[in-house]
Amino acid sequence: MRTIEEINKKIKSGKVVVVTAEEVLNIVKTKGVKKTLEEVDVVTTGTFSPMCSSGILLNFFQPKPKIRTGGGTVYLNNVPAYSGLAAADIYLGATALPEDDPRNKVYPGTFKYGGGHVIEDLVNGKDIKLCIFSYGTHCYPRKKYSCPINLKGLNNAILLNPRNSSQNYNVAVNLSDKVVYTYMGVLLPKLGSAHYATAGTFSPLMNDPYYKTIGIGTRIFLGGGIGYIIWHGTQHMPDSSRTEKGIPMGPAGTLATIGDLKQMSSHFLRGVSLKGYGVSLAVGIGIPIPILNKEILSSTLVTNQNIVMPVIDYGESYPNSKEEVLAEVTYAELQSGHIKILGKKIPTCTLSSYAKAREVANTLKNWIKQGRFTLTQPAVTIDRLNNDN
Amino acid sequence: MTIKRKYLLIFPEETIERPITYHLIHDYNLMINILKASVTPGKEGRLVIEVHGDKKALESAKHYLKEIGVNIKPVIEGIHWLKERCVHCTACAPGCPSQCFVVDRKTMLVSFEKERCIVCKHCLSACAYGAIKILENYAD
Repeated sequence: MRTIEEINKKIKSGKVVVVTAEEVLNIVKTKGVKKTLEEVDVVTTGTFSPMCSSGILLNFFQPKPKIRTGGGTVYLNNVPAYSGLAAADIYLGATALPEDDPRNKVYPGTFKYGGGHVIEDLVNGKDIKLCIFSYGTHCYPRKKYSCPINLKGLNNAILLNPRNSSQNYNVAVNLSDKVVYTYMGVLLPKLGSAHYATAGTFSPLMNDPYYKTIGIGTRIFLGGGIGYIIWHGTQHMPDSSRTEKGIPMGPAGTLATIGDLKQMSSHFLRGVSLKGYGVSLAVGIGIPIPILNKEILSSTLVTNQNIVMPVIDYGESYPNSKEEVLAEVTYAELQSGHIKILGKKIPTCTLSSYAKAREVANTLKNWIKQGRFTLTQPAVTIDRLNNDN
Repeated sequence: MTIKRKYLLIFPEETIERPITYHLIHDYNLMINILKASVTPGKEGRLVIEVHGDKKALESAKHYLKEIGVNIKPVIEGIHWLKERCVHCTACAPGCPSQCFVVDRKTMLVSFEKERCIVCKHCLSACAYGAIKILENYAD
């Protein structure tokens, strides 16, 4: 039908037709599949949600005399970073906490500042206090070093996320008679609230549910800048059960991503404090789906009504690994503000942002339209990643 | 002229046992809606009330409260919604007893209807993005 090279030619000549994952639904409704397939070149997706498996890889310029971070300890604004790498490379994870944070000692903890917030501060151009304690070697004699660093002054600052953009997720409820504090939010007792995640029709992996266009080297929108997919994410479960339309009915695919932090913006990269749980980083991700053929177009026609999500009790079942599915509800029902579980009408909410997901998809659409963003041919698509050929 | 106002009353230890709300209703003919109350044993008590009544009677009632040592502070603003920090996730909405956080189901954008707020502070726990702040005179 069409190739990525052809789409890129159209991007360069300004003739490309790009629509968001939401807009394509209306276009198909009015014009039909055949006409839409002829006209639309790219469908843009988007998501914005806390994604705990995120972090930054930094390389700073050596002081005089030099210091070696490897084997030592490193802090950024008091938040410990991983130092088991070469002399000036450090990795800061989104969920890292200062050693003196009281955590959940006084329950529930508030977790005001951690890795995710350091990342947000860096992106905002703020100075961050770097502290290094090392043991000293002949070539790296310094044992202590402390200085303010900022994004501009770093040699490299790379967002490197092992698990992002979950394809589908659980809906968390609480059957117990106490408030529970989870990564899905503050769950009110006795089915007081239902907490869902992902971006429904905008979700990147919902628009390519079998990962046929997405792969290693796919250029994406990441945190307000340009990034790439480097592998499937950790806990990638492509074989989870699916609906007739290929939509997974629970957690399934994930993606590992990378991008230059220096391009990113705190509008799409935000530190998160989850009461009683910890800190994280909310990440905005958008993936362009090239409409190479009818099958791919069909997969982008996923609606909020098509997406089914399992409702799990996080009061008792989830923590004890007895994840019994209480009910299955659609994303559309969740988004209406209420669902009915075990005969009770429950208000719903999410820590993901549908409005931001829409903004990501629209931003990516505009980048492509303006010729600022071309599509890449992945080296290997995710569906073929574990094949030997 | 009748008016409606919200106040934070801070009771020193020696006033805690006095039936002050009764006096406000009985002696000054004020309608009192208690929005929040907390008493710390051996310390102070805090009461957030909405008062509805005659403007002059309200002034006299305030005078009475000051005389007996109750610290009365107007609730001009309680919970602050920091629009620029809000990502419109909706986590604040379900637990809010007075439905201050309104979600436009079409745009999925959140807005805050401040006048409904009773300062229960649920949203402070629910918001993970630091988009809710509270004024100092409300802190426990």
